[in-house]
Amino acid sequence: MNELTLIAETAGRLFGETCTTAVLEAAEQGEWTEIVWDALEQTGLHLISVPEAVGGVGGSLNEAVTVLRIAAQHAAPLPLAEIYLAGWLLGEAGIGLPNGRFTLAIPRPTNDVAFAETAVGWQLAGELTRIAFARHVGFAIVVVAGRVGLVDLADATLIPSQNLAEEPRDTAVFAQTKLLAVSESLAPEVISHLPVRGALLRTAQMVGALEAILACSIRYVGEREQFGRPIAKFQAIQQYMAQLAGEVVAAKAALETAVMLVEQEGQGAKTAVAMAKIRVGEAVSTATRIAHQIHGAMGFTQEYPLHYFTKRLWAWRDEFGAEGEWAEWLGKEVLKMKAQNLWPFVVG
Amino acid sequence: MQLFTLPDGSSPFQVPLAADAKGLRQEVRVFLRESAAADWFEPQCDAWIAGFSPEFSQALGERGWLGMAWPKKYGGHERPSLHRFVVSEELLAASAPVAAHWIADRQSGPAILRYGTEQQKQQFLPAIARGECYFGIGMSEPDSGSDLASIRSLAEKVPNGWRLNGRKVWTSWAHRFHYMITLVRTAPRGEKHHAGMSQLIIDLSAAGVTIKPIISIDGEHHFNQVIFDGVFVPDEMVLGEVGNGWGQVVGELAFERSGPERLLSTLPVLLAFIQRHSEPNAQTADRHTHIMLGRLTAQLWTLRRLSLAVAHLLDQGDVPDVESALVKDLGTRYEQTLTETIRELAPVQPSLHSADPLERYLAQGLLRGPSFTLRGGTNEILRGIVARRLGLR
Repeated sequence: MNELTLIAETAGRLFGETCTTAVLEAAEQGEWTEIVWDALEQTGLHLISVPEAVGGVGGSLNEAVTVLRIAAQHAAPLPLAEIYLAGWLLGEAGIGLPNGRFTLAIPRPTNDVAFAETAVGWQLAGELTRIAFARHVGFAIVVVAGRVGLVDLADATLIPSQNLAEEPRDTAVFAQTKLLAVSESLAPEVISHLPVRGALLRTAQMVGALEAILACSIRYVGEREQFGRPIAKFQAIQQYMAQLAGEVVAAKAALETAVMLVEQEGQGAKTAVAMAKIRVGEAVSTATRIAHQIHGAMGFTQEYPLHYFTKRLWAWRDEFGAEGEWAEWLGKEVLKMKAQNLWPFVVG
Repeated sequence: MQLFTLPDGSSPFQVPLAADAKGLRQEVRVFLRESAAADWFEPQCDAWIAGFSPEFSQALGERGWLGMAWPKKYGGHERPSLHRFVVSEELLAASAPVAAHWIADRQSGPAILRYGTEQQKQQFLPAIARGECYFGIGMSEPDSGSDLASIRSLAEKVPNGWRLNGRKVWTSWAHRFHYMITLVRTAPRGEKHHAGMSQLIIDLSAAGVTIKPIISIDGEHHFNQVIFDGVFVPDEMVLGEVGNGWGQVVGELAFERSGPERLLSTLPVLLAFIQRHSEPNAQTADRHTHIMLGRLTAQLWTLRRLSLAVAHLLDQGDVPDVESALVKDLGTRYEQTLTETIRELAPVQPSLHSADPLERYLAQGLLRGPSFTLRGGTNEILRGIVARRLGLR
């Protein structure tokens, strides 16, 4: 059995067993679901792709994406993408993983925040918003003006907030807060790769959730009966389901290709990630509409678990760059090309 | 859902392209640049249906780019399906005039290779691979489209062969093709819906064959009606087993649907739009234009990766009929969306007769567009195939 299959099976088991609807409901109510974190921590899968030099277990981006996708298939209430992204940054910065749960904080364009070197050491001041799961973790890896810093969130004032899926996206206010560690200025290509890698990881999560709503829909149409037969037997439903499957497969194609290209080209794969984030974002629009239409009123309830996935899809679609943002950037790149270079660009 | 998985469980979207395929791609691009420079052809939408050029087909044959995956003893080149894919997609992206040999190379040849007698293989395959022998598709009839099994063309047994009466419709380029692999009844319709059919290789110049043009919405002639009035078909021209026609035609359809041509039919529209914007006096594009171009490019890139994955599945010995159906559904809708999107962005008046390429290609895209989601199996039928794989039927 190959390594990737083993990782996938382990992740499937751990998230499948812990991410019950009761756990997901508790998470939506703002609770920290330790049971999921514990199970993950025991497997060490949260440290995949994080360099051993900083306390990770090594391994490839493809392996981390596999775990992340499976976590999303179960709507796991954890900042796993942020953990992988922070782990990567710490590896680039040469800073060891903190001793406890952590998340990643990237300044938004409107955030007023700065590192300052003072007589008593490096400090952080200002406000960072939309930090995933800040209230549930001990530490944040923060990126400001090309440097990576590590801060204890107990030293910050946290204001809770949520995204559309009720995942924590908290604000942290810092006032001359001590940085536990701070890096040199990172190379520009590392800093510019950060939003790209983040977009790729969010895309992996979206693909996992898309796979979940497809599986959910297949089950539902086979079980729900109307007019004396499962609704799966109606052509209208079959047409919708085939379109849904098409979107999921297209999303899979875009993600898996982008992962391969990032592994091969590293920073050079920005266009591939852009195209994946765009295409998967579009898939979300079509797939969530179809999934809800197929599920009828049942899918519109809190009780039926479809919404855990569709809400995450709607939320994640707009994080790390919505389709429109990436498409605008890509469209400008395309218009810089001569027409005869478009096809070679698409082929790669 | 086990779609798009290679036999070893790995992803067909993460297979690296071998170095020799990259070299082959460059060769094709050089040939196309030289052909364009020599004014060999005029790009157009849908050139793989609309562009008929025996000279071009023979030139490809000379370069070993037809019959690529077939055994050398039949004039082929024993190269992987992936190599055929690379050549095909470069030709399609350049809107090369490949219509003469396209069907023969894509499905008729492979059908003969799979089901044909040694004599048939020797008679047809080398000539197809040279780009000299052209085949059409004899499936649809006036009363049998999506319900292909309802065909009525009937071949009755006579000494040394069969006597065929009936008609086939659509049959693109039958008026210039040499042969047509034709699905016919060889036994009366009985209880089993798919039994009693066979495939015959019809010589389109045979006595009793009449070909009547069907002019399309855009004024072009490639469709035809082919009428069989007591056509004698010798036993040697039965393809495969008598009575096995349905199974064979399903196999042929899998070949028909598995290529990269179902996403590139309207690429000239996109290229002409970009060309317009790179001209010195071009208007600066606005945000909406950038976004739509970005989305069209991302969709094209993804579709191509899906199509490439189908080629990888074929190379692994898989029969990716469901995957092909899925890609054709997505790809053909993209072809239509591309036309509509560019039309919205470009303040032009599409016309088939315009000297401006963008106006001309938009007109071709708009007029030919409805056929994209109909030919080779309507998208609704294809979605039914996908639904069956999902376990819904």
